Amino acid sequence: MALYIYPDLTESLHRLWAAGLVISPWLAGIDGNARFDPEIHEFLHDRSRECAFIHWTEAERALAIGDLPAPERMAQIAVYETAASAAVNLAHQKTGELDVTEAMAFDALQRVENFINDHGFATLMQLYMLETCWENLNALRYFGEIPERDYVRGSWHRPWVDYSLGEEVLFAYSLGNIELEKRGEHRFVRLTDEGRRVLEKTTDALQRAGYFRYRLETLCVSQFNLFNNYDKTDRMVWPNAIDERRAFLEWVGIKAGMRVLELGCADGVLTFAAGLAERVGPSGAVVAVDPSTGMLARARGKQRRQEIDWVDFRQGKAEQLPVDEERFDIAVGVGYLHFTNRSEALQEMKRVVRPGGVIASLHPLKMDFTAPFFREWFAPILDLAAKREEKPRDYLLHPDEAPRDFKQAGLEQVEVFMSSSELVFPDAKNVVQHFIRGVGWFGEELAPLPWKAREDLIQELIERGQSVCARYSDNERRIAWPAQSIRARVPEEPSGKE
Amino acid sequence: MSNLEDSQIDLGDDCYLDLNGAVLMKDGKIRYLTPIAFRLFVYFALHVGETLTVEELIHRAWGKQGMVQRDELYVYIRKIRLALEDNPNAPKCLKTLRHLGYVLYPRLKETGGAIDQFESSGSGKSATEGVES
Repeated sequence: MALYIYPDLTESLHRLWAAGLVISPWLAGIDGNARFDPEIHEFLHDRSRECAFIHWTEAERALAIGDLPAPERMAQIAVYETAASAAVNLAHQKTGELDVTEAMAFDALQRVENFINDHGFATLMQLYMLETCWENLNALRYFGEIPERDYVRGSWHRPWVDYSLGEEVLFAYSLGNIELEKRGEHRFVRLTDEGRRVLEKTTDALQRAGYFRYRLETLCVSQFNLFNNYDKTDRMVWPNAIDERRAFLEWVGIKAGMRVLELGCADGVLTFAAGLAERVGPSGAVVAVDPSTGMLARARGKQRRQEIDWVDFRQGKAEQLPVDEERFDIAVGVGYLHFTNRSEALQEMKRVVRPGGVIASLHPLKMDFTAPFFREWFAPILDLAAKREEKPRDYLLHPDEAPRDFKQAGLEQVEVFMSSSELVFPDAKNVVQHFIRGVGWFGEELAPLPWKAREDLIQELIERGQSVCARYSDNERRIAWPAQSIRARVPEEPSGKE
Repeated sequence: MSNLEDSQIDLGDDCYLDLNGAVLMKDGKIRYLTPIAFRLFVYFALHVGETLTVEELIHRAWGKQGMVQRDELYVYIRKIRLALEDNPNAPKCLKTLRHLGYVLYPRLKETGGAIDQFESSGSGKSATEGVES
């Protein structure tokens, strides 16, 4: 019988997110380097220590871990890690960068303290233990065993930690989840059968709570934040990017004087280079939305240089548009739909587009991985899927998905136009930077891997890419990527209502 | 004379590490350091002006097989700053380089721009108030 100590934490996890908190920063740019200056570390460390001593009472211990021995330092670390993760997350959200200021650290800590006051310290401890337990056990399953030193320092699976995981070893050992083996002078940490069962249960619980999806979304937005050369790599891999975006805007029917909502505007490539703002003109208006602060900063930079004042860039997600009273003639975007929860996003767009208005998307579709150069280059990812006897997981859509969702959302006159975009794979570094570290293609395959395994795989993709680029001609390193344009109308009258 | 110099590492104005005593001499006063803080300090002093990474410093202070994490290093950086800096909360000698590591600069006493050690040591200005902890 597996010693699985967690109650259903789904609701608690959602409350944690609602409080702006995350545990273990699955964010781009977080690696073995220090997350912040020692001064900020000291502040968070001291305050976390105080917080844990006040709250980690006998009653809270009983609630959180029943009759198990109470790890003393783990309570401080739970507070510290949550505040540290939240601080980095805040930096990503507010500036699109990684630098944590004192104010952000203070804000993060305040949020943790508020959460504890509202939901109890035991809840925070359980959430911390559940998430880090998954991270630990998942890494052990993947690697088979981890040298004790690397495990305690988190260097293979949680390289961002700046504290020792020694107490977590003791705790997991006391639960019977892990065992240690001595070989020569070294010691190795391994999963027990019980640990394997606990990992399964933990995975199920987190899956049900939507944790992995949330983690993937957060990672994706943070990747866009740090994706400084998107403009450049986008055009390198998609040479006709601008012309195809222009043709799409024409097809959608955007005209001067319209009020347009742009979804997933990124750094303003559709807004400016592909001419959306120009088409609409100063008599119209564009509200351009993107979840990535970093991308919006670059878009605003372009706007200042071009002196276009009828575009308003706003941070937000398609599922929760930062739009209150305004109504639009058209909601449009390129390459945004596959990043969204489509039914929620379409309902939101329907809310803000006037009756008779248009909702449209141009997005890439799932492709066959048949090109020999591609199979060779991306073999490490294709192999992950082949082991499960599945196709590789990615966020791209099947051709029937968007039309079905548009109809289910109650949109009318759904029209679809299929095309194909020529993609080229010019050089290893830019291709991997664009597709993997940038737009997060195959994120679904990479996110479940422990940190080091993921980094090693990305490095392997670069090395394979270099070899592939040396052996296949430029002409051979091309793919005709299927794309879909879709447009539909919001019904004239809300049906069945006066 | 040369023996005396070998047993010292100069750190700028009125400030040097005494290798024999394993102490810092600052403004004529002895500042005691723990063995690890001193070992780290010597490593910094031998690489003045160079950026030293956290990983490198941990290796130097605790050895390659140590299980020590960054939080432990921060404690010792703090100890060194308390001994060395005129204002440890606004360090001017042992500086943090965000995302890169640390760098040690020679001490410059604020004596109206006199950089040369001999000139500044003659100024007799002392700014040690409240540094001891």
